[in-house]
This record gives sequence, C-alpha cells and structure tokens, in this order.
Amino acid sequence: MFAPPEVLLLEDDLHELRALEAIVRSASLEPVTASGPAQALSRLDHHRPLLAVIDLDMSRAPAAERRGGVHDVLRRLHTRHLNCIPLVYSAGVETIDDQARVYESHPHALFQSKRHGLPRLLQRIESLLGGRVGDLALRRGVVEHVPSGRTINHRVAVTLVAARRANRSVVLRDSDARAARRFGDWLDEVGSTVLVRALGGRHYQLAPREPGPPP
Amino acid sequence: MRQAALRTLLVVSERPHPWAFLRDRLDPDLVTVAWARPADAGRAGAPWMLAGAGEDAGALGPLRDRLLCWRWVGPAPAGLPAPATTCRDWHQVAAGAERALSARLAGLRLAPGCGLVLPDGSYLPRAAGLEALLAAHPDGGLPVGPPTPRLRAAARRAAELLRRHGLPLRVAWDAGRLALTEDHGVRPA
Repeated sequence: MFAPPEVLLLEDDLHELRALEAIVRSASLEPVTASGPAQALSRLDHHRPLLAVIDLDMSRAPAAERRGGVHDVLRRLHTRHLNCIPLVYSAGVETIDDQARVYESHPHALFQSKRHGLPRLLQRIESLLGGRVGDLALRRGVVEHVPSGRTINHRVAVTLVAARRANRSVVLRDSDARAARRFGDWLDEVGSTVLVRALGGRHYQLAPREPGPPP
Repeated sequence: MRQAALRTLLVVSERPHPWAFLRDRLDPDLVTVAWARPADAGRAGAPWMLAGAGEDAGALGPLRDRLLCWRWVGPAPAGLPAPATTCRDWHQVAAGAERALSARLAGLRLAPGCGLVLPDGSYLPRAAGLEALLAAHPDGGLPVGPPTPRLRAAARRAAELLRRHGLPLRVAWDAGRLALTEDHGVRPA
C-alpha cells in the first residue's frame, strides 16, 4: 500500500495550522500537525517527515507545549531526521541575525517569510515537493518520469528528488541504500536523464547524467 | 576531522553576514555555504574552501594537513595553519569562489554536490584534494604550509587519482604551492 510522504506542520495559530494542513493535503501529502514544540517533538518520535514547516513564534502555544522550544525541534531534526527538509515559515526570519540563530540549530534550514503570506508558502512547498529534477517530476507524492509517464512511489525515490530540489544530499541506511540502487536501476530502465549518485559516507544525491565523449 | 559530505565553503567569522552574502550569491548546486564562529570552526567537517575574516585564527588547527583553498578578508592572522590568499572584501571572495567553481582543466571539472566530472563524462567521487587543486588552478595553485607527512600523502593520493584515470595532469609542488599542471607525456585513457 502506498503511504504518501509526511509533512510536519508546527504552528501555534490554529487557524493557520488548518490552512497549512489543507495546503499539504491538496498536494496529496500527509500532514502531521503540532500546535507546539512539545507536541512536535513527540510526533517526531513516531514519524519520519520529508518536510517540516516550522513557525518560530510559539507565543500562542499553551504553556505546557512550551516545555521544549522550537530550536529543540530544529536540533532534533538536524540530529535524528537527516533527510527532513526544514522550512522555517515565520515573521522572524527577515534579518540575517534571525536566520543565523536558526542556522545554529539547523544549518540546512530554508526560510520563508510570513510577510509574503500563505500563497507564497504554498508555491515554496510545491517547488520543493512538486518540482522537476531533469526529466523527473514529483507529482502528488510520487516520482514521475515525464517522457514515459511511468511512476515510482518508493519513499527513498521521493526523498531523493525532494532533497535535490533543496540542493541537499540524502543519508541512507543499508536497507534504504538498496532501495536507492533499485531506483537507480529504474532510472536506467526508463532512460532518464538523471541518475542516483553515491557520494560516499552513505550520502546519495540525484545528478544529471553526463553526456559521454563524442564518437 | 571528516570531509564534509557536500562541497562546502566554510565562512569563519564572528558575524553571520558574510555567510548570508555568499549563500545568496554562489550556485547552491555546486557549493554549500556553511558558517562557524572562529572558536567553533574546528568542529565543522573539512571544507573545500575556507574564507575567514578578523584577527582570530580560531580553532583551525585540525585543517593543517588538508588540501583546501584558504581565503582571508584583510590581513591574515599569524596563527593560520596554512597560507591564505588575502582578499580585499567579501565581494572578492565571492568572485574568486565563482571562478574556482567553474574551473576546467584538461576536461576535468567540479561535479554538482561533490566529486569531479572526468573528460569522458564519468563521475569521480571522493576526490576532495583534487577538487581543491582544480579550484586553485586559475590562481596558480594552492598555497600550502610546510610539507608534513599527511600533506604529502594527500598530494600523493591526488596524483594517484590522476594516474589511475589516465588524466594528462600532474601534481607539482613548487615554492610553497601545490598545482595541477598539464602533463603532455600522459595519453588520456
């Protein structure tokens, strides 16, 4: 059975949380919602989200929820959820100093200012989880080889495409590395312009297939 | 110290602004820009290029025997473990990094993420030393410190990769610089 990729949503404004949830569902992804940092940390014990959309300002969260801070969530993502892409959606990422504070908790966090509103956030999520890499597209949580229309829905394939959109590598355990190799075989089979590249140290990344030397 | 998984330009500065400037300017497909304060710089993975500023050489000792490109904005502090190319400002660092990222020699170039693309289009992973040498090629090579055994081993490994892949290049060690030079005696594989 196909389980759509999960997106962690940490937002203390319940109205915005519902709006984010709808956005994620409209992209055929599974929202994992949290209205405070403690709940988010608890969710991360049981889920492996592909993307985490995180609001920095938790002033509306109940006091019990603020036992842990947003930066604890970012640090947990950085240390234990290496392949999750954190997208900090906040009014507090306008300045370089704001961004540097986030960087110290998670050096690969992406930023999206709340000033630009939910439509821009949706575009950003779509660009990460719905964009193209070579002749591959992420559509509704599955990877599609656009020229042939063939699809693959394995979590590792989806993770590799999303990571490439964020200019990141993916760290894989042995079992997932086998899945990455199978995905590589599938790319060969469909004649994709993209291949799976082992970078060493369990890191993998999608890369364009280089043309060979002229005959 | 481990090599960073992706090609990384490590900014060593007290304030994060140069990091943000370079992050927004350099091609993220080719290089990840990281930031560390001088006191924390030794904890980061070994980068492809290090660019620093200020009078504090920080905790950079672990990078002493690594092949990497060193840049310093303003006068370099005395305690740096390797000679740094001095830059006027961060714009000059950015321009130099862009030039380094697009370096090509005998058909060899930097691959996206990390590693090298060989002249026949194939991919060469785990070649951090060669990546640094290729990046330093437009500037006449990589300034290095005294030839320690580890530094010699890194240079030998780079030379061995060139030989194994039949590349018409060699690693030349001359006047405190390590440089890639064309070797016309080698027939490309």
